[in-house]
Amino acid sequence: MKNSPTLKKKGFTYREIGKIVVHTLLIIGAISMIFPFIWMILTSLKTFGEATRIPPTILPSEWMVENYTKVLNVLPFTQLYINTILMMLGRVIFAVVTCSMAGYAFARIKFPGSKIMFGLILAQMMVPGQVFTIPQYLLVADLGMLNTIFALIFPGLISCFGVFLLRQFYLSLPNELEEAAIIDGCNDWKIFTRIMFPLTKASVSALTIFTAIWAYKDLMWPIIVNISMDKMTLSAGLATLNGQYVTDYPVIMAGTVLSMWPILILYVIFQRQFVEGIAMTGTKG
Amino acid sequence: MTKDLKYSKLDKSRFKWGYIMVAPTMLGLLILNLWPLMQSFWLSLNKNLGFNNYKYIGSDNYIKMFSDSTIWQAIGNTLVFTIITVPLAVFISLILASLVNSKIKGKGIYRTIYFLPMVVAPAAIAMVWKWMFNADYGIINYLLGTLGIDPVRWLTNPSTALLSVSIVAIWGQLGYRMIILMAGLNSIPNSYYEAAQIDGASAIKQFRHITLPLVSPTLFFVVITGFMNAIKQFDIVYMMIEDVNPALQHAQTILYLYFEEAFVKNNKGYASAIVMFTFVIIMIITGIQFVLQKKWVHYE
Amino acid sequence: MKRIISLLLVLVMAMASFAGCASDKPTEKTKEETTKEEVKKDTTKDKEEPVEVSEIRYAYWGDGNEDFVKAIVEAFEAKNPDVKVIIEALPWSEYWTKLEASAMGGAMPDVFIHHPKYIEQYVDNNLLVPVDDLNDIDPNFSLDNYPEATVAPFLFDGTAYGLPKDFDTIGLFYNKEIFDAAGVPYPDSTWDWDKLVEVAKQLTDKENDIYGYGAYITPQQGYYNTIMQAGGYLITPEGKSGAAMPETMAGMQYWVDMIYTHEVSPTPEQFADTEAKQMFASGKLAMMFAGSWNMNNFAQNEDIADKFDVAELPAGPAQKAVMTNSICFSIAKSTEELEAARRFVAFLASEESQSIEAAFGGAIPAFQGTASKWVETYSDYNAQIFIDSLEFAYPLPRTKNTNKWYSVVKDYARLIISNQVSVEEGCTKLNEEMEAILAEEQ
Repeated sequence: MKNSPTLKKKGFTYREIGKIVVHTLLIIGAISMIFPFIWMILTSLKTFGEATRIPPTILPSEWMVENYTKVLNVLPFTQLYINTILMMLGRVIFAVVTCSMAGYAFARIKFPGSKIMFGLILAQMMVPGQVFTIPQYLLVADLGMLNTIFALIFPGLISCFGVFLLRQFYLSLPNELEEAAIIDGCNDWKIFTRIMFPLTKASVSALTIFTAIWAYKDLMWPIIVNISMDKMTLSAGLATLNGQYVTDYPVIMAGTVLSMWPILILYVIFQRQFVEGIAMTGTKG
Repeated sequence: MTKDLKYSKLDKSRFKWGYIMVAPTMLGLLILNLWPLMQSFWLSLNKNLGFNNYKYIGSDNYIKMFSDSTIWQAIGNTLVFTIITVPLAVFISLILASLVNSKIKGKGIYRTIYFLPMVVAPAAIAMVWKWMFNADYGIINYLLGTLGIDPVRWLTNPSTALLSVSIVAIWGQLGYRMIILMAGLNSIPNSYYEAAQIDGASAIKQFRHITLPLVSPTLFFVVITGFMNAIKQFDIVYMMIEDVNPALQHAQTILYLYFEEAFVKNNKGYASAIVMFTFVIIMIITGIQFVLQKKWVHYE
Repeated sequence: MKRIISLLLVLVMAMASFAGCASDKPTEKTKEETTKEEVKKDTTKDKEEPVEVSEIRYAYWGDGNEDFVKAIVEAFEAKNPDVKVIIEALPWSEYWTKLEASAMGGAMPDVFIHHPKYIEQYVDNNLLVPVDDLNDIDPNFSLDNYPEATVAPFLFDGTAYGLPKDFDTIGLFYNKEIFDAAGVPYPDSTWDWDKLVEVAKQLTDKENDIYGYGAYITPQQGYYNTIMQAGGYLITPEGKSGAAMPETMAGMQYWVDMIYTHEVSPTPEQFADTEAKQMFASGKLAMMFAGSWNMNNFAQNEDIADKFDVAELPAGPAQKAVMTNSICFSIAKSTEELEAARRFVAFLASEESQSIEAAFGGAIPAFQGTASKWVETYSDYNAQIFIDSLEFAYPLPRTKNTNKWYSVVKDYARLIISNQVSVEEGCTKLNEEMEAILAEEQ
């Protein structure tokens, strides 16, 4: 970051020059981050003819809402939202319940075999999820559960990452917490449910956000296990759109806009929790 | 059973609860992971005759795989993609994280914007970029045109297709990496910097001698997960490159090929062999990372 | 047994995770799921319900915007108030993957449309119900109501496992405006390969981004036709691979030459960025081969509706040839509503239903006499050529496991047509791979 002589002459201090440079860089970055979203919305309101005009128009000459009606006819968006939410909810609830219990047990109880079991959990985190995909799919098929909401939740019934995360947290709690309770004759279940679990709010919300985002982004699994459109998730539904309107970009853009707004609104509202949650998963790791 | 003598009654009751509380997870691990892992290996020794009928063929799938140039090309593509995306994404997100972390105005707004792509499904991200990369009507070529640069066939030219996919991947992951790195940066005590400033160390020097070493454990986490995710790249390629795209062979990743074989061409045995091989590659790369980390990661 | 064990395990897991858990939302959901399952499995009549409505799932490939499907289903439901049809549209690109998945997982739609390319596997694996005995439902029912060529692909040992829905042929779609502007006469049935190239050259105007012809990568609507026109085969009448025949190579070569030798067509790269049909609709292509089922899209697209027409495909060096294919309705063996499904299929295959499709101008319906109604729907166009082309039409190449070699054909066609391998090299390698796959079938 060399200071240019012209700026220096005008009496800028190093600090100010530094600030200008920082802001310039950040603004360039911010534009490249936000531009695709703006372009998506603008394109979704154009006719195909206008979208493919050279030079491109910035604002649509006539606001084409037809793209949205077209896309709404093809994809049952309400159903897709519901399915996606159910999948996220299901995976989150299972993850929070199973991981909290296991995380507590691994952290606070030195039962025989716990080291081996926890080792298995760590090992699972190293294996790419796709190794399990075909057998899990065959298992769901055997259960006769293809094309159900349960099938969407299935791979998320447990979460090794979540166990690891919550164990880290439970390890950091002081021992005095349970010593008194044990003397009072409380069993571990009571200690866990009444004393410990309520303290894990931050970790649990981190796990919640993490699980929910990964569920929402999951593409391969929903495409595989679900057959009819009314059991699809947003991601998988969008992929279908790609097969229908291969290069009718305005319609496809309308679809992406519709698929994005609910989670974007959630993100803007819960931004702080989002950021803290994700940060926690990284630094605890 | 002889161990019983070692433990008090209280211990035993605690163990009972311990087992009960890990039971759901361990059961799940057994059903969802351990058993499928064995099954995947078993399937990779079989041939799918359609509709769930399998025939044992020994190592034929592996022999076929190692002599299949398409597989090697896909592995090559995946490695190139990894080598492009991971260092660049980590580098850019570290710079941006440091900038946003410095004491500037508008921090909140920058943060909101930079994290936007993080909460968007890759399917949606891929579609928007596919449109922007369109060679004839895409905005990117138009903007390059105004600078006098000839149009580039981003997604259909074999030499640029993978690069285009990489750009999208980097763009889509910046937010997530930034958050984690910012958390790492925040945990560095301010007193270090204050001391350095008194010594008259420049911002760059401070970054090199204080920030980098202290943030290195977080950086290591970001790099490791980055490598794992890059090798598992599937969705962006799946959404951006169709089967009539001439550049398909130069952009398909190993897991894209796995998906095609498993669920489109229905060669589930062969696909299992591919995914077992991918697993081995990931283990090797992760192993190398853990060996190398001793050289540059500083744990306090 | 395996199923019971895995079900038990999952149940145990579910129970274990809810022990002492405050939230019972998911339990409710699993309950809902199980009751749904029970209802599905419960085929005995429920006493509490006065009129039992049978629900059947009907799957087809399409984008869900097909008005005629809805119209046909409504007409059926009006006559059969005790049956409710759930329409499931899936894109062609995912249809077979999903259908196979549903077949393995016991989640098959009750009624669905089937394709000659795939039906044999389904028959072999005992997944379909014979459908040639519907006289108890419709006294007028008979396989003679359909052209023989549309029934044949679905007959196995004299039993029909599918009833003809429609058939299609390929036509030469052309943009009248571009022809008029250049003062060139429209294509007709006397055209041959050379004439097509000659006119395409006349109409190509790269200054204005207009191409005389669209040689996009497509089997049924594209190189399959030129291969037959040159006298070649992908699958010979004896069921062997014909990929390495000089005639087959000539058919591929013609397609490739359009792009790289005569330079009258956009490249595959361009087509990957903008689909051929979209280029045609926005007036960038003067001519292209496309299937009869596209009439619907183009006639409804105001950009192109009054500018295009269709002609027979040009004759090749060996013969006049065009691909034809027919689609059928099938019933899944796994259906729990066999009676309702049979009624629905009988209706779908009836004259009434296929006349509705004709009036909407979907695909060319198969029922004798309804095809002319379809032609009438397109009276502004020369749609009769699609019917006339049947005289020199050949069914799509197929074997027992078409899908296995078909994906290889698609891979090589992409490499050949995008000039990444020569026609000769590509076809030779394709032939080797096809021979290996076909050998496995025996």
